Amino acid sequence: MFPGCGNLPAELIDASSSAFSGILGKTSLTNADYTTLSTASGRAVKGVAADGTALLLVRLPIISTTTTTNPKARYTFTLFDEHGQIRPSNEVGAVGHPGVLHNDIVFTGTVETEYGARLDSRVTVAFKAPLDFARGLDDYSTLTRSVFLRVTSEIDGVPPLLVPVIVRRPPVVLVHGLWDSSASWNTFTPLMTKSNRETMNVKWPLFNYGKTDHSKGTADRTFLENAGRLSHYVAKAVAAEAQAERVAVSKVDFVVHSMGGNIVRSLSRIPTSLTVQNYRQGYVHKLITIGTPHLGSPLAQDLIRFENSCTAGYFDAAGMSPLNGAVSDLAGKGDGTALSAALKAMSPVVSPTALLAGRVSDAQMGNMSNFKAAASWICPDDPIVQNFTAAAYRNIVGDQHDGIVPVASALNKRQGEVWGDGASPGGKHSKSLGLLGIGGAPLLDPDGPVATKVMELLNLSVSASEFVQ
Amino acid sequence: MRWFLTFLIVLLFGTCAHAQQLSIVSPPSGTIVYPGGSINLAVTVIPSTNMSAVEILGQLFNQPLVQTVSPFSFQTLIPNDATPGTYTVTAIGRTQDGRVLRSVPVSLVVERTEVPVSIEAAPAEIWLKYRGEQESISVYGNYGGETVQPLPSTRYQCVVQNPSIITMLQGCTVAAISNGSTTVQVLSGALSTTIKINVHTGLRGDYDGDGDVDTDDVNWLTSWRNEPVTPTGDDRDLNSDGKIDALDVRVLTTMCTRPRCAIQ
Repeated sequence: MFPGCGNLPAELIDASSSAFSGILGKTSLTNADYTTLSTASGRAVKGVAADGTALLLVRLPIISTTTTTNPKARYTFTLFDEHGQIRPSNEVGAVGHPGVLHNDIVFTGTVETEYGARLDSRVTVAFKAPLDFARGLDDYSTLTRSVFLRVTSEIDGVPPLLVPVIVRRPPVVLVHGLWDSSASWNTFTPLMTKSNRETMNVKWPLFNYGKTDHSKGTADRTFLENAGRLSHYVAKAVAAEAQAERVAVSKVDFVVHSMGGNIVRSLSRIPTSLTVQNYRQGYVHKLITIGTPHLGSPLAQDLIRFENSCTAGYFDAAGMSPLNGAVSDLAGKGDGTALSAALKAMSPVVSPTALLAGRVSDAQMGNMSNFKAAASWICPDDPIVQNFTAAAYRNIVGDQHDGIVPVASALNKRQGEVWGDGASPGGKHSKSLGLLGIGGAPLLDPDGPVATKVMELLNLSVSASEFVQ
Repeated sequence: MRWFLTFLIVLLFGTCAHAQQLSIVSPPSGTIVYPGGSINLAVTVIPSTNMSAVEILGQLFNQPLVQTVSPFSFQTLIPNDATPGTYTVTAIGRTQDGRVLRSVPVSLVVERTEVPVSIEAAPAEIWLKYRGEQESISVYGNYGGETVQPLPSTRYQCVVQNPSIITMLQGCTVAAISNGSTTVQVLSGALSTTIKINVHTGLRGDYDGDGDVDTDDVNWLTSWRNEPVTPTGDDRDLNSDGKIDALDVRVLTTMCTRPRCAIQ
């Protein structure tokens, strides 16, 4: 309850509406703007997703204590965590003047600000979502927590008002890779286990893009075509999460395998991915790529060469089609050279992106000669077939690779953790590489080290060293 | 480049009516198989031709299955770790004079042998914003413990409570017809779960539901060009010609609520 406002509660309104978008960017607000911010209808919510972008309008109903001779009363808004502590603002969010540019509501150590109340029935401030959800092990397995806006007045004897704001974990969108389906995540435990999807009887906000059968859904389309579909999917996922949980949501955490990373990095080329919903900043809060060929795959490059046309058909018959769409876009040497136009057109790998790579050993490729023998029956004249042995395969993909993607490509030529080679198993690009005679555990192995690492990354601050800064 | 390659593959793999045809004659497409179970795939060549080899390829198997002697019959095991789902397998062969033949793929559905103890459907609630908007419902079986896996579409059906609000397309995909709320009941044997569906269509052409028609909506509609329309009525097909194309985008630009389709 606030001075003079009776029992009326504070109102939290999702600011991602065209009703407010023209005002939020202004540096100087008119009286009409204030009236709009204070009175225009909007979606009432309980809180925000911790994506660093979602914005609330916090409206406090007041009976004005001002007079024409004393036109202003000042209110101070201070942000606290659920324990009443002032914490680093990355964790609690930020409060600011609704008239400043969205990006100018910055996360500084200062979370206290003052406003002159206007001669309106409400005082309105903007609350920007925290940048990070998890603040350590306490939040590792939870989905929501709370912060509080403490509002004080300069009027003597008036008690402060506490406005609770629910902070929810951002939705996670899984994007599968080439020659695969959304079913590839089914056994990616612990992320996909029931206990992690359901905490406090609330389901973990997981959205698994793509068809569940082993269709050629993504292989038949270019990066751009796939990105267009993904953009629609994410918009619906964000809207569904916002509606179901009554929170403001703008961005998601992407966990992607293989070409899924290329598709997410191509979202920037889709105009519909820059929306009022995400304040035209795109949908990426955090991107975790697993075996993504950021610099292409030389295998893709070889398969689309004219002299290997028979082998291309052989792969197609095996459900690994290199004939349409995606594989041409994936062509690149893996070291940053000979990039396809689609690879060049992707947005840069920027913060916050975590790059995970896998590696297989020669021993794991011991059965590749069986594949060579089988392919030789059908395509004996294709040069690429001669390289389907453990020793010669490096002529295609180099010395260090996960079976398809060179380590340098998966890490975008940066330093990073590489799984595989015995001590840390789980380095094979995908389960389907068993067909090529490549053994060992795949990157998406249940309860494997990559799965564990993904859980850790989802719970780390976006400013952690694990993310490209 | 890719069209040329496709053309080349068609030439190499021969699809002419009078050419030899390679076919998987059994099992029929859609056959349900189980991890650890055995399967026999029979392949024929019509008219009979001397083949150097015939192979069965597919992501379901851990290696290509190869035979060099007729009759081409492949007895094999479904891998124990096969993830439930639908897989395609294809026969491919090379004639002794060097031509490559390829069959039409057949699909095999891998199912778990156990029956789920309960089912879940996702999303738990659906909001549709324009007539014709579609949303697919995924159905999962909970097999106890930590195991939740998709159910094959053969194992469940979806029933609409109020068909005047939404319609059910193939599989378990709903499409909006008119405003209102209803439910879809997902049935799998004695198990069931319910999903709430809300349809709220506002201003025509306001596809993002933000109260106006602007460049965002134009960009959105542009990205759907050449996609099929929803047969039960589709607000993206603004000129009602059965297609989503540049003409619809042109119509939408005349419906913008501000000059030059400005975004507020």
